[in-house]
Amino acid sequence: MNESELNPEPQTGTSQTELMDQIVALRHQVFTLLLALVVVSGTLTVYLYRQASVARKDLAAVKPQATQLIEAFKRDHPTMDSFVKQLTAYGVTHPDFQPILRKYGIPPQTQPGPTPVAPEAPGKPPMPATPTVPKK
Amino acid sequence: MKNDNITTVLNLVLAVLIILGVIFALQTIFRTRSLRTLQLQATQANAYRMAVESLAQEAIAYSQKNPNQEILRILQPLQAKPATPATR
Repeated sequence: MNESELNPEPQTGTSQTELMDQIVALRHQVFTLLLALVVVSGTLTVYLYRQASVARKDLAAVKPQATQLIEAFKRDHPTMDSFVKQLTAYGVTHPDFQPILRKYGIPPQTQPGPTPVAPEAPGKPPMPATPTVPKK
Repeated sequence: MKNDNITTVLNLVLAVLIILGVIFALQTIFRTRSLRTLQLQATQANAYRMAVESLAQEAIAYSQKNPNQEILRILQPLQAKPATPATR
């Protein structure tokens, strides 16, 4: 800052004109920046609108199929679980069946019981954990 | 004076654009999150079903090599009713 800014001199005609010039220049600058901000903000808003629109369409396309799949899973899950438990129990009394169970990540058990699922099979992917079904 | 009016209008436009931007951003976030959750659940459900189906197929193959009452009893619902987990 120079001295004239810190210690304003008595307002002469020349300094008043300078100050007015500076105010006008600042106003122009603020206006230009505001205009630029509006343009940038408008572009961002349009982009966000498009993203929201794409997300809505994607959700509308996926939701019926996914809901159907999840509902079918919820319906069949007890049957599948019971089937796996029966096979696990069968594997306890028939050791020759255990390689098949191990292949699916079902560890051998000494007694029939619930089937813990642990990923340890090298060949096939292990039995995935039971998915959490959505609450309605 | 004219400049002041334009500045006011621009400020209003900017405020509206910011509010709309926030609304659209929130909509995008919630919809994308919902989509990811649904896709994840569907993928997990499908993977579990496929694994059980594959296990059932192997159990059927095993039962053909080693037929006994117990395994046949376990597999009987699958063979009687094709719409069970093993045969979707």
